[in-house]
Amino acid sequence: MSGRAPIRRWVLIAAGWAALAGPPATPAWAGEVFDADALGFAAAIDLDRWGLLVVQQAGRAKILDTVARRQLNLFYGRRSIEGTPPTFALLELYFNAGAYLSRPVIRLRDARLREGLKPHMSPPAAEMLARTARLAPMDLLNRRAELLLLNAGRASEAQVDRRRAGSLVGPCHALAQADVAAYDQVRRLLGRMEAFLAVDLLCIFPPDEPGAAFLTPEELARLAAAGSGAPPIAAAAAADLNALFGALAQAWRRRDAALTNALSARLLDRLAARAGRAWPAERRRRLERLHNRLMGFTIAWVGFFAAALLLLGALAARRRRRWLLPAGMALFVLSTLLLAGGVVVRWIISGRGWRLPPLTNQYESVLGAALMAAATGCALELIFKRGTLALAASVFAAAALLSAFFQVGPLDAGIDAPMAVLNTAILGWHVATLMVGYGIIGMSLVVSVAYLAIALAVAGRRKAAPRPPPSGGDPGGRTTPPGDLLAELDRYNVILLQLACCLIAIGDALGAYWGDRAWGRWWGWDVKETWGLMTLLVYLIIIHLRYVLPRRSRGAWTAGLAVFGCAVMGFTWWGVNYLLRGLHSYA
Amino acid sequence: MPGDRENSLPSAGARLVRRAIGLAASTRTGLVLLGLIFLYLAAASVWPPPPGAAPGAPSRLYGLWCLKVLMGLLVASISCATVTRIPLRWSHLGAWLAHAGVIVLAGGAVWYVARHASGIAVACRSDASVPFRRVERFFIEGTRALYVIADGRDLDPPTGRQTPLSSLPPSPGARRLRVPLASPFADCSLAVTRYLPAARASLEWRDDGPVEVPAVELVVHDGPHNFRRTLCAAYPFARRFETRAYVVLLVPSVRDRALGEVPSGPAGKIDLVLIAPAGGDAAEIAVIGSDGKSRGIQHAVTGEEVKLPLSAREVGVTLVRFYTRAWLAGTASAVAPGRAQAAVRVEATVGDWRGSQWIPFQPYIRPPDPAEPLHRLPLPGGRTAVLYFAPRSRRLPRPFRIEDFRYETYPGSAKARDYVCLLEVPPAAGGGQAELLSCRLNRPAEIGRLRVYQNVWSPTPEAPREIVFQVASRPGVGAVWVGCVLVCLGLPYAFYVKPALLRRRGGARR
Repeated sequence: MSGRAPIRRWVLIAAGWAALAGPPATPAWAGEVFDADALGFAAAIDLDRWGLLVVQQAGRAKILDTVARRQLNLFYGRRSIEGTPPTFALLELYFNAGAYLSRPVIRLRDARLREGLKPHMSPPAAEMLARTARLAPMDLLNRRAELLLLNAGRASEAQVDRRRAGSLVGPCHALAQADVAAYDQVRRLLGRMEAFLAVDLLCIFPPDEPGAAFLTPEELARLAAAGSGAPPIAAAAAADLNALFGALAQAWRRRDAALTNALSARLLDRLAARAGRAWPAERRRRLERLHNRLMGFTIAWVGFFAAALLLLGALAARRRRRWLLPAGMALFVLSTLLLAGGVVVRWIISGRGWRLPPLTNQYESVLGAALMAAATGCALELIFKRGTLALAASVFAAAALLSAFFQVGPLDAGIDAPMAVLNTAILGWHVATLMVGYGIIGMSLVVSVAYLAIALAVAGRRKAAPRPPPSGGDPGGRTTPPGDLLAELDRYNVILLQLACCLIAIGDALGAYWGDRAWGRWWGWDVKETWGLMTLLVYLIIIHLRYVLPRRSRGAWTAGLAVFGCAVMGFTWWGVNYLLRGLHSYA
Repeated sequence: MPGDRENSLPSAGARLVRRAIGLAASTRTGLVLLGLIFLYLAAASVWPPPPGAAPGAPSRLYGLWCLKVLMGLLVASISCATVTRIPLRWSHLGAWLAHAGVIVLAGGAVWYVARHASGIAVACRSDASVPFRRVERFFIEGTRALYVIADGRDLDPPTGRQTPLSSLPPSPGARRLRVPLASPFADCSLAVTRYLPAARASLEWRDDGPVEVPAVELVVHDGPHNFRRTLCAAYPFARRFETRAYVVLLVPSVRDRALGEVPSGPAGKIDLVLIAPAGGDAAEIAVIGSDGKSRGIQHAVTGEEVKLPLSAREVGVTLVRFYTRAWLAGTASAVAPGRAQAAVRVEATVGDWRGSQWIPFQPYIRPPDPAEPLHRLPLPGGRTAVLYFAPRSRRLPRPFRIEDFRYETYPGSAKARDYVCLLEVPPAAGGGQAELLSCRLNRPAEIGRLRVYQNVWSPTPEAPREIVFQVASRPGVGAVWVGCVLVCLGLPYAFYVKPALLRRRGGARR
């Protein structure tokens, strides 16, 4: 009974919270992009097979569902539009682009740029921008884009409002020239317009020659028009496929669901037959769709967050609520397994083979560091069984996964083939080793902050009451005395720092080996290399400093320097890539 | 025995040495040095790169003596601490390994920095249909030299006429660096008189050349367009000005119809405008219609617009200036670092004549290219010196030739997976068969003691005309790897094996 009461209380609190919060609020602009006709058509057509269609993009055979989510995120700022399936939204904007030239689909989040453009907009357009933080493509339409849409039949002459077309391009360029900060924003905005146009996006037509590059509908149309029968697709096949694709586009625009479904099935069958083994197996494509739906398994941050709360509770009241520790540990292990599953699935989807783990961009490195921290936490808890290290790992993993979940800053969840220079197994070992080290440094940050907070609290309490309490702290003996807790945290800190030091040394050495193989020098004072060395220096300083410090202040110094070391590591990991210029800008 | 007692006391020098070793061996000294190195590196990493260097190039602070002294002191401190303070026992093997690793690594690094040479080698061809030229030299990074080449004779390869410019002033200075010259420039004196670390070079027409070369600057008023051009027969690109409807040519006499110069334009509708200097500030202008018939000769003076009756429309021409000793001189202006390249001004003196040319820096020389005007310095006697300001070049121990270049893509995509060059390396002096080596992005080819790394290609991967390789020697790198391995073994030993050994020993004692 006593064990169930707190659970019930937590459940009631959670239920009350959910009731107060209510269902997720419907955005005020719902329905501004797709009308009822489009939504009805979306419900009537069979999108399941379209989602699994293979598109060649950035060196990898992806499914259309993946491409659609990423493309919508690029220009619209969300992975779906008004709750419709991403595949439908992308195809609708592709086939029927003209109908959406005046709808708010191009995201413009930067407030300064919005303010700068407002004087050049009509009152309704300015009001729409203020309400939705999005622009209509018409305002950014240049002559090239206009011709592109008209020639491909994606827009009609009637749909292009010549008085309005490109009305904001001039002011955008003027703002970019006047203000250096605005230049970047304008560049991104025009890039989003390019993403809306989806030029060279749908590389779906397999060529005759196996291994050659897939073709886009525009390339296919050019081949069919040329009719020369030259590779990559024989003339007859090109004409046939082009006619089928054109008929499908027309049926789609006419909202003829039955014909669209029939033509879609014919086209997809034809493409599958042509592709043969160039398409990944259906099981792998379905796995990719599952990966997309679970947001790349970054959803595990919820588990880590809950585990951290439970473990924190267990630490605070160790002997009073014994169930907290096993519950927290179970949730922590489950979240770790979920995250590991996500990383493995990502690895399988990427098709890079065992040589190259999914650690080739910043997003993947965040996932890797979170997983490595969690795995290290699990391994160390097998030895210590106190929950403290699992708590540290949970906090770090939750924070890292949260940034990945919301794709903070430049994080891009796309799974692409690596750049040619990164296509080597040494890179995998180099980055994996460093990511374990970074994950452990993240854990040490949590432990150090906890140490410093407790030490400050103890010092404050001592100041307030000069006489020390009788040994044992809590008269009931139900909680751990602060001194013991501090010693325990210091011990964990040393373990983590030593591990981090070893791993960073090994990671840096592997990086030097890779540089020697790829760039012709093992060391070149590139900023990333330099900051990697500086990170190692900080940990060497911490480890050697413990030999000269008195026992009394050793823990506090270690914790303080560990926080500083984590800041240096953070700059090495993130800051160098975006604030300083070097050879590792792709990292 | 007072004498014995005096002998047993260490001398002042020995005491000083002992004290110095004690100070160097202390952990505090090592910590201070580590902290100083950390701060120095932090400052160097945000310090701007040297002017004219590529974006992202390391700052000059890394090469200063301060860092070398700090590193040297750290290695000395580690050495002293290891020898004097760490007993050579199994339990302390980790510290010994890690410290020895740092020392070996530092030794290897010193060896590497002192002896290594790295640079770039370029394989070129004039057209994608012909084979690449043999690569015989590489250009050493971080060095500078002035190449003086006689009228295209020694373009391939750049011969020993390079003059190392190791003492260029870091900022614009008046110091003259004499460039020794041999035949056919024995009567010519060449000197580097100025150096700009970050400059933007351009060309301007001047009228003080060493030989008589006529040129005319004119403006063509063609409807809403005004074309300003300088025509000079001595420079291939300045011999004529052409549009889709007419060609303007500078000729010695308008009576020479020079119809051979007329290009076949669209549907043959090309008019020809001939301009011949007539002495002073005047010229004769003749128009020959697309039918080959003359439409009359007009007399023009500078500053006055002359209407030309072309077949399709009327075009006006205004002569702006005449040159008698025209030549294109390079000029350079200093600009903000990071936006431009270095340049030197080379001054030539032949008898009474004196001329100068600004030569921009280039990372390597492309032998088959015709020299651009920026690199040409006309000299009296109709001679032309071709000048290049580029890194010093060194002969490869074994020249190589590109047999094949492959741009490998991911299946189904145009994205690059690897660039592969197949290199044909002729046998060494002893004879034997030519070797075929493959050079990939992450798998360099080894030619003797040099490694050849795949770098970049241009203009397209399907038909490259230029492929750039990184070439590097690697002295001391083996020692660096040994040092790394020792450190990577020593740290875990010190952290995990040593406590276990001590625990076992403690347990045995109890």
